Amino acid sequence: MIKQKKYLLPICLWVMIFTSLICFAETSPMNCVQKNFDEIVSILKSPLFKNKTEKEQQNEMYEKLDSNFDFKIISMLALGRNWKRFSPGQRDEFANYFSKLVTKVYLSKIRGENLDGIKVDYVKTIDLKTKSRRSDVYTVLHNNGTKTPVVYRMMQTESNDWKAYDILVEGVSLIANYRDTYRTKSMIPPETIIKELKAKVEK
Amino acid sequence: MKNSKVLIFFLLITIVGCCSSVVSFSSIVFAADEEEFSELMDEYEEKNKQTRVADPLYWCNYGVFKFNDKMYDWFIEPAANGYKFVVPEGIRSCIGNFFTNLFFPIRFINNFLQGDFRGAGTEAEIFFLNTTVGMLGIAQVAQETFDLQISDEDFGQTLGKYHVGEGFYIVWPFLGPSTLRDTFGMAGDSLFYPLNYLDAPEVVIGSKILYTINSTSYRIDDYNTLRKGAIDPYMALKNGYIQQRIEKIKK
Repeated sequence: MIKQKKYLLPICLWVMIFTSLICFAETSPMNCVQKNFDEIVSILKSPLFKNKTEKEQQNEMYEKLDSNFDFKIISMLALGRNWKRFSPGQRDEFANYFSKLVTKVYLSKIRGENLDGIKVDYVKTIDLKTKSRRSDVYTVLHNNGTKTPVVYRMMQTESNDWKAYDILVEGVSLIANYRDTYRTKSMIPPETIIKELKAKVEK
Repeated sequence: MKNSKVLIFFLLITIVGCCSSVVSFSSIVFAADEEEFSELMDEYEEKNKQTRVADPLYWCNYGVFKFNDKMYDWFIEPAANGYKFVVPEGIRSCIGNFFTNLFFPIRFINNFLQGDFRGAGTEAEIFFLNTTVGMLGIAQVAQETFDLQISDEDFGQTLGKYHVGEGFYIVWPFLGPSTLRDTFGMAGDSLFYPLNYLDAPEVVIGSKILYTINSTSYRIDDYNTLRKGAIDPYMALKNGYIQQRIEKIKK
């Protein structure tokens, strides 16, 4: 009995070290971006997904993107100073519609593409010297003859995985772009802003 | 009796202590959260300030924006779609490369004006290689075989490098978003575009149309994506243009 235990200990240790290494490897922001991107491409390529209705496809992609992006922080950054005027309920509602809009646009954009002609170069990660753990992951998207630099801005969550809070396409920050529009809406009541966003999603 | 009182007293103290530590702990977490986000908020507020460009010609610009929008729907997109359908990718890429090569004088002079002599030298090398071995630029030998990179500089960026401000926002028919500074930039650059010196206006205009349709054929969906996603497409296009210019000037 005792002998058996002695025999088990190194194996246990070895397994522990190995699994911790895997976890460590998985939690680097670049690996995270890569993993998410590969998962999205494989979802889009699967015949099961192709046979679904548009609504079902949107729902599936919505769930996937919702686990990769922090839409709460995205909404906060996009709304800028307006955020303070929103009640907690309105904030959730806004974040919900905003993520749906992103999903819809993303899906309509990628659906027309030839997925086999898409390749991503993962260039570098820059860890930011900020209080929260944040990193910018630099990539180049090769899409059927065009090259587009894309930067994913990642933040570490409490559960130690990474979520994106902004995407920069050719140096243009998506969130700063929305923020600029919402800056001009400081006099418009939150309900109207949400209604407007909802209309955009449902259009 | 005394013992139990002491016990209750200690119990109370521990309970209060625990509570207060929980309260202070949660407030620390909350404060850290707020601070973390305020840092991010400040960062984006700063980003927004940098991209704020006056738009005194708003009504005029908005009209031209609408005009360009319709032009895109009615002519440019259908033309680019048809063109993409008829002309294979290989040939479209050669045409794109040919034009990139023609823009060499603009890139060369602006690298030079920005004091980037190495960049100007690389541009000259690329031009030489692509014009000769690459057959008038249709093959990008320098980029593909020698791994040289073009640095896409223009006069608007050169002015920006020397701290000339954007002035104000202008939307030009067909050409799209610009600023006062970049309009001067375009005028300056047009002096260095070889085809402008041809004595055949139909060739000049034809080549401009071909260039536009050819480059649009690669990005047909981009404008549609912007319109689908934007709350206010006019604002989104303006901000996107300004952000992209700032980023290019930084490089």
